[in-house]
Amino acid sequence: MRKTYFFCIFEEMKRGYFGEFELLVMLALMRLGENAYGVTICREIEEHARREVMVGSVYATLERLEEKGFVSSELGEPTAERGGRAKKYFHVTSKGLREVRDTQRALMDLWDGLPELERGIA
Amino acid sequence: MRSSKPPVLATWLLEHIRFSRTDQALAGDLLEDFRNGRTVAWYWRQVFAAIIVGFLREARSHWVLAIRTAVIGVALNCGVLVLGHDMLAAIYQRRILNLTAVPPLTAWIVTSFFSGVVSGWIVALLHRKHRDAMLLTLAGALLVWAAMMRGTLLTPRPLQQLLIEVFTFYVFALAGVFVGGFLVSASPKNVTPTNDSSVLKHLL
Repeated sequence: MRKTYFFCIFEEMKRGYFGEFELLVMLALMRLGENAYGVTICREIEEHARREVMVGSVYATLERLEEKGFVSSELGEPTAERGGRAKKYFHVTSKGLREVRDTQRALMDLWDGLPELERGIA
Repeated sequence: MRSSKPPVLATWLLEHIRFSRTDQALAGDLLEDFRNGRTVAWYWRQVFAAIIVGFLREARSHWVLAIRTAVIGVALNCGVLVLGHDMLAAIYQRRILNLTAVPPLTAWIVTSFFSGVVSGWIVALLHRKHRDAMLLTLAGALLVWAAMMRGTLLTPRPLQQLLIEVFTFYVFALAGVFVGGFLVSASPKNVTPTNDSSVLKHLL
């Protein structure tokens, strides 16, 4: 059974580091660049994490990240394909980028020298 | 051939139960992805998840209002149920209407629905800005309250009768909550900035 990110809403950023789903969303935004909106973000996460993603959870996470200043957004033009609704594009801010780097550094430090994980990779 | 139109009821729910500023973009994303080959089941799952996630987020952000809603809503519902029951009894005793032809279950359905309408209407009036989240909070509180009341306080009944009463209360009182609540128009949410976010403004 596939694990879903249904209850990622409960993830909190008590301090600087991201929760698991928040980090996935931030990395997806960085990979997508200028084309990061709901559909592409979900596809990117699903493709790499191999899990079904709830669009509502992604938006809740993005709103939270935006409130923290890690992400910014802008509305695109409405299109007929979307029933006249505009896309909302998201971008990582410089503050967000710094935070991702800090999280990466912390994770790499923790990963480094763990024999169990090294055997897993081999 | 697969229809390019998503389920009407799911779309209606998505458009009418609103919590956040990004709902329009979210609805557009779901429609776009559905037209790109997603299934009807996927669409329903996404709509339910969006509603539940949005509700939990808003209820948690405004937990004091949520508690107030639960208390006021349940008290109102109890009051209307008791009053409705007394009124029906008075009408019956004075033979204003010939209620002998009305089965007790029908009277229970009417009072359940009416109690839901009144409590939903007043809760929506008190919380226009967070109407939908508070109506869902009230619905949840009524579910819990009814289960507790039926299980503990009321006189023992045959299981079948108990189940019918609980089921009809759930269906009609909860329907009443949303009918009453949607009679009140919700206040518009905060408008999302169109071209730049507040964060960018702050950085610049």
